[in-house]
Amino acid sequence: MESVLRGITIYIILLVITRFSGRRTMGEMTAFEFVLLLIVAETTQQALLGDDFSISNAFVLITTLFAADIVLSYLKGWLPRFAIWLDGQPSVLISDGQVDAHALRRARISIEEILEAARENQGLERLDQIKSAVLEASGSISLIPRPRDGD
Amino acid sequence: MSVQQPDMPPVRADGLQLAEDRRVQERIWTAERVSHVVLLLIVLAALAGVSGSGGLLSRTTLVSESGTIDAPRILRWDTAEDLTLRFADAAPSHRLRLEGPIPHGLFIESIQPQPSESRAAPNGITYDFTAEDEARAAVTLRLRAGGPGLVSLGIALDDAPPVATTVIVLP
Repeated sequence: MESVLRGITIYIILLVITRFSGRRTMGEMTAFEFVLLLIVAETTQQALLGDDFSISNAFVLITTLFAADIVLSYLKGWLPRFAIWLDGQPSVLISDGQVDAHALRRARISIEEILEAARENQGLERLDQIKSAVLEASGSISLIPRPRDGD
Repeated sequence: MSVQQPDMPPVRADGLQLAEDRRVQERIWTAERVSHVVLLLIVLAALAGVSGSGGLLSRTTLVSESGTIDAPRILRWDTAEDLTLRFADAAPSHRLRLEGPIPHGLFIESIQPQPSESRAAPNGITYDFTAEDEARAAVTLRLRAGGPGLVSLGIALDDAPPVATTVIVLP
């Protein structure tokens, strides 16, 4: 019983903290954030297992974590609003070339980050070459370039 | 046979086909800001000792007629903490009586110095210690909580009436 309670408690704690700390994908992590993730993983492992390193405990914990994730996926399917709160939704940061400063501030995204995504993903040089920018639910920034003259 | 179509996101005026409920998003952003403050408050509370393991609020000093007791106020499950007793009078022997759930709610991992005698009582344990006659003796008990919850404990030094304390054991 204790293993199941530990598993569910840690699952909920991680879910709430990662959800409300903001969106950022693995690919956009800084080196320090990656190190932080490793430390969190190590801390979580100790809280999950306690003193019990048996295969039975590992089996119960893994099953609990997967079961919690499956239950959550069903809940998200039945309750779309709950899914939005849990997974987030895309936020338009640039629409038709117009920068939404309010959305940028609230999403804690800078113009520099959009320009970086534009250079990396689309090979764009300037902001005025971007037609739309969307902060996806996953935390990545999608860009749609303006059609070039002659296209 | 008709094929059921999934719900399609609307096409916006700027050409993007996506579902963005800005009203809900504003609430999510506000919730994120509130949660950032909550995270900061949790860190500050932990520094103050609310989560145990050090900090001003994690320990308490109890005064008895026969001495003082430095006891943990907040313990963590499966983590050991010291409870230190200082007898007020210099005497060749001292007695400590613990009334409460020991050994069920709290486990005594070690006692320094070792008691010369220990006796089980209906509601606790009594320890006798020999001491240098002129010294004000100090005894340290290393406690470990058996499970989360509240543990009430009575601590009696020598012939003084017991001092009651409640230890919060965090999961």
